[in-house]
Amino acid sequence: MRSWICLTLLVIFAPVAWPAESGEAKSAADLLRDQVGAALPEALRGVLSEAEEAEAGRTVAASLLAVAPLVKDDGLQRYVNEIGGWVAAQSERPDLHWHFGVVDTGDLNAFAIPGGYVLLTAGLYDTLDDPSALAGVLAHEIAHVVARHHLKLAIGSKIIDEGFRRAGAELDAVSRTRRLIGAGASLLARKLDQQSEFDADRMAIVLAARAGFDPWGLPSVLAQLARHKVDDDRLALLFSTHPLPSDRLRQLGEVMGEALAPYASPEAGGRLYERGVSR
Amino acid sequence: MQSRNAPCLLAAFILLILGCSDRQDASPSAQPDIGESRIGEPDISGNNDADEVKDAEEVKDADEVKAVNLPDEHAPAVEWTGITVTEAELKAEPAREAPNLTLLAAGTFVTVRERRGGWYRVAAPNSSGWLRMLAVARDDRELKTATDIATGRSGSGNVVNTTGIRGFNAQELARAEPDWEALAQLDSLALTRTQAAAAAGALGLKARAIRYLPRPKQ
Repeated sequence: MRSWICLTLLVIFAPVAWPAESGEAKSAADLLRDQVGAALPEALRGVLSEAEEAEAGRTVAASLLAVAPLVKDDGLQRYVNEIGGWVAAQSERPDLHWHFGVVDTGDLNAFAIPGGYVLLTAGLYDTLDDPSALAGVLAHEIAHVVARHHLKLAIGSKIIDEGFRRAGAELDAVSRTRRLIGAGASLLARKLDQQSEFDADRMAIVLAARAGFDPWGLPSVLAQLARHKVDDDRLALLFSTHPLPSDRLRQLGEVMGEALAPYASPEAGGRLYERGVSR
Repeated sequence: MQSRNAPCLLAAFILLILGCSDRQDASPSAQPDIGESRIGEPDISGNNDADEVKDAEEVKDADEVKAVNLPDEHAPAVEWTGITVTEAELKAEPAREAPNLTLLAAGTFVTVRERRGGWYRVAAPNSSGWLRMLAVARDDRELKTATDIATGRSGSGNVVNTTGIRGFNAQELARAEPDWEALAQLDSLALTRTQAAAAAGALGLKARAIRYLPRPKQ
């Protein structure tokens, strides 16, 4: 049954997608997303079930943990699960099995993993000023998961890559999932289109505000990141997968005006959990 | 927690020279104009799952807005050094339509005196006024690490490399073999929705119904 859906998808998408291969700069996935627009989320439901999404996420999360283990600080891990869980509860996927964690690396980054895993680095945590900043960062990743941005990217490009020849029809669920997400945690090194990042930022400030936090938490983190040199090693992956922080701030500036002012809450959540020095 | 640094002193010096001339900029017009900026706009994109926004009944009435905004007015005065991260218009009042006083270049040091909504009242090198928060980063903590990185030194806090693991890269992520034990540990930390809500309640956080913001018109 599902294979028929895949095949149908290919037939629908192929005429749109094919010109992309005759090669200009814009990636095929971007083109597909631009043109297909609203059809993709619906299509996605037929391609990958929630259980398959969760299974894919487990592999990616476990692979990331092999590269950077969890910080050994139970208080910290509990704290990010409290804040993250509460923010995620304000989203459109409140009942997903959300997991949050801080991984032990000086890199500055945070990752949204399909199925509801959200991991941020100790390096990024250490730059945060208050709970609203943490909530904003987690909310950005939650937004990616809620909107299934990474899966859309993976499926969009797979549909194009595989073409009619493979159709995906003969694959079982496990291999189909594996083919979608790629090896290890490679999914996390892939760049989403800019619009997905801007959308996630815009969703994030509202999700954080819904949870009672200051909507200016995420922008304050972006402003800090904007101060770093573009060639800063600790931000290499972040900068290679995201628009520049200053561009993200400009985008937020377009929409983030008086509408959110009533929800300004500079003291929300008290003080940020102070991470132990010894790890 | 962090010590202030030279730019901070410079800004303080400039402030001394300027005296209290910026006080008069603290205009009373900071109440958000909720009538104009509708919170209940339809959603951001029209093409993702988050479109199904939960709560429609939530355009706050003016009194409620006033109450929510009050804490800002009574917030204790804090002063800190900020730096503009984008070009930024210094405004006479904390409102988008307020007159521009001057255009500050990215990288301008300012002393932040007060916050109101999404605006900071600041003293800039040659004038004082209001800047959008989005244009300003705190200077105190970040300069330390940025300097360390720029010069290749590992600073007193050894912020550059704390663990020996650094620099995620695509190859490394693709080569990684899943660590299922570590994942089990992560799984064991998960909280239920009820537990997270209880923790949030203990922190004084209350849920608010707010609609997503629409995409800006390009």
